[in-house]
Amino acid sequence: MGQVRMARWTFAWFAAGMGFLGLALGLLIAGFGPPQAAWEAGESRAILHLFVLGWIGSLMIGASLQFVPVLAAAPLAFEWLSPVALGLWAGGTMALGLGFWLAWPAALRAAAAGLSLSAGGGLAMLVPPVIAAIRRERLVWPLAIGLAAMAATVVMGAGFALSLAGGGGLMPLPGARSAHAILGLGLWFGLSAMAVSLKFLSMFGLAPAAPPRALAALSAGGAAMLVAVALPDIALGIGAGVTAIYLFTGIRMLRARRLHRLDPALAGAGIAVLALAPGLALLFVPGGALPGGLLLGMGWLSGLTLAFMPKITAFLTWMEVFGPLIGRAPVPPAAALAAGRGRLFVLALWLAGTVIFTSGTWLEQGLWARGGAAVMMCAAALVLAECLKVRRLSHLPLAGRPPRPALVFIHS
Amino acid sequence: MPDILTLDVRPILAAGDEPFGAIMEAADTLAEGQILRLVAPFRPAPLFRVMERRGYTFTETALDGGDWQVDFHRPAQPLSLGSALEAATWPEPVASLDLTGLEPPEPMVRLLSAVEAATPGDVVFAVLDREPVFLFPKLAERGHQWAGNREAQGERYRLLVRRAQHV
Repeated sequence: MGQVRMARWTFAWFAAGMGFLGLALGLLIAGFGPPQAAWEAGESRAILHLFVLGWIGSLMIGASLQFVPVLAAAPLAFEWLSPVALGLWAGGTMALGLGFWLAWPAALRAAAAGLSLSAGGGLAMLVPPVIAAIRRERLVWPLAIGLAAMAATVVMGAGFALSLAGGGGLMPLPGARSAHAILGLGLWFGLSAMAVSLKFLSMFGLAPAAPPRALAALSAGGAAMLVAVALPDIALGIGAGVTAIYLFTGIRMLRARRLHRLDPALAGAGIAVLALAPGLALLFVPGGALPGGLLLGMGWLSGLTLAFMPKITAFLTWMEVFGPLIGRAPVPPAAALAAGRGRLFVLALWLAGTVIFTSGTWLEQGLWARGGAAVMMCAAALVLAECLKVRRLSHLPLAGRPPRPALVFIHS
Repeated sequence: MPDILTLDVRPILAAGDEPFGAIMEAADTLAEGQILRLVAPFRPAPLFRVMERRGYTFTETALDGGDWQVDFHRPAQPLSLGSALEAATWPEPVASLDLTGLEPPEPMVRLLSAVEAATPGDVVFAVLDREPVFLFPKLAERGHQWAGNREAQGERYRLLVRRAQHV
């Protein structure tokens, strides 16, 4: 087994994710999808999956390929699979969108194949480092459960797609769809995001490491959700307990941090976390599943992602550009690559847009919801602009600025 | 759980099979403080280096009839993969750095700067909050050797870096 190196394709995954986010929000702003169309309509399903798979999924896989080896202190397997998996993921997501929207069986079959192969490739890369670390590093436990949930989510989704295409598969009955959502949103994205955000809090907020007991409790809760997923109400109840442990642990770590001025990425993540408890609570209210899911997927998960994207971009860009110069020439601090100001505003804007969109959708006020999507688009555009500036080293003084790295490929 | 897990590879070899996979599998299942007792029809010298690289120590005993018994001890905190095995023979460190409580990538900057400022062959010691996985390839690229493991208690990581002899 070799050494951990920076994954080369992270920014390509991020770029694809931003593209899908722009596409999904653009369609919502144009008046497609909910609330103008029913949630059950093909176009609503299409937009939902462009958002969840194309945006959150791409970011989650891209970030996992970069950071799981760091957390596990063990390298990826078959790293060359990354661009192949990205192509299949992006193509599969697009095919799924078309398949839903146009009720096009061939596209649904292509989506099932592309997304399954891509997820298989992702697991082939990620499972070996997780297994290598599972005995010595408790933080990889929730990540392992997240990967198991990823496999289950994609297998179920592929089964649904084949069934819709009329070729057997798995009937998308309400209970199965709830299980699909809990596996994907709750365990793959949610539990993984909880583990990674606690790690970032310790790394970039200089807080103490998450207590092993808390990580074990999160993992046990996640495993129980995985087992109970056929009984959505029980799985959600366990999810509430897991969330309480996460929030309690995060707050305790935050109070014990050594860095008193909170990093903008962590402060932004704090804003995103505001959507977590209300989103979860709505899931227990009759008729609240959709707005609750929107607050969790758009407010919390997407907000966390948008909060950390500039930080991750700056850190990886600094490593790529200045890593070879350390000890040989003066190097700027990593923070010099990013603008410190304005990030809280962007996250507040995103969350405001999410709340407007969610309430507009819930109350079936089309214009209101489209306005919310437009606000979200503005916030996402600001994050994208900042990431591009970071990647192009635009915040560094012109004098002595090193050559710019490639935009979506890391030379490591 | 028994203190000693015995693996007799003589039947495997007699059947014409390769026992390496079984040995690694058994070694990986050892709990802390447990011993893997290997019984082989010869002294398994090539295996020693592999196991040392994985942080195991061992004691060997010649048995009757040319057979060998080797006890592999699972270390409390094995050396990270890629550690230089000869670190025990390195000179005393010329600098000792406390790199805890620093936001990444500051620990890497300080450590690499200290190593680059040292005389060839000198050793620098550092304590960090976590295993610096992105640092290791950089050390290797520059020809520096290193050996590191976690502290027996606690989460901190200890690292020795020896500056390349020839720059």
